[in-house]
Amino acid sequence: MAAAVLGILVLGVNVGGLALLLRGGISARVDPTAIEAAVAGKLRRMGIPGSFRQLRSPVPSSNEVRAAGRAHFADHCAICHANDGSGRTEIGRNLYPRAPDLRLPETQQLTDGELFYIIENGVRLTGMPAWGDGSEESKRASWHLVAFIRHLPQLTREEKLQMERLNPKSPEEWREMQDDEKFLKGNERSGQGHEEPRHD
Amino acid sequence: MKIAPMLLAFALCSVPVAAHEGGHDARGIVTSVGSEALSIKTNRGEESFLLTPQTEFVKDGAPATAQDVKALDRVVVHAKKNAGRLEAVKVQFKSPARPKKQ
Repeated sequence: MAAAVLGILVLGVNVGGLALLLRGGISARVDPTAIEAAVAGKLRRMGIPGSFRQLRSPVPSSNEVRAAGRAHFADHCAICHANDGSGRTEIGRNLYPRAPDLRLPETQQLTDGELFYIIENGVRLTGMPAWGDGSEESKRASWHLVAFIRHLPQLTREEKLQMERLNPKSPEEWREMQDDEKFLKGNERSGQGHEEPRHD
Repeated sequence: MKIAPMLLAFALCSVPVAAHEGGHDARGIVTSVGSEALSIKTNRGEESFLLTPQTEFVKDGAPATAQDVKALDRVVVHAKKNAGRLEAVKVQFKSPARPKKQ
């Protein structure tokens, strides 16, 4: 009996491995199949404890709360999720699974508690890390993010520009930004530019 | 015995990463601007960029439109290469400096 179970397991692993290899090995380039995405979505929802699912944000949404969430999102989240939450960044669109478009119903229909749980605890086998450290400060910041994520479908261009100023930048990017500013002010005569791999 | 894990680790680490998206930035003076293209004079010469509905215009740090860009404006263009052509992603410019009162 034990040998039969072991045999079935080995066969299952072999068939699964073969299917994986035929689909492009471990490459993250292929898009997840519809079945894989649906199963992963269900598992994610099932994996969030019921106590969190029922949670409602203890932080009422206000301009100040959304501004705090926006600044935090620009600094920590936008590198994968993009300032507008579309996930259209070099990292976000090449992750497996892809960074979701947070403006769409798949995310917006999650409860406050589910969003909070995902931010605090991350999602296994995806690019989403656990940001929470269990402190009250961390929890408050996560609730600010929940408020901002709710606001993403109504994000304005002005807000997006504010976020661009808050996005993390390398020393080289800072220098380029200052040179751009100098040029626009007319303090630099020559029209220079540069060519490089773009990390947007 | 240790060779197999090392080979496996090497194989995993040598998987090619995704190619970076080619970017091209330029600073220059606008020579012509229309609904579909923007040309500027830089110290490399004349450069032209396609304008698309996704092109973002920013004047004095605030949202603007293609109609706000005028010939002789100083602009910074952030572009990407698409099918061999340069597509403007973002065009930044400032209000022209007012002449000082005498």
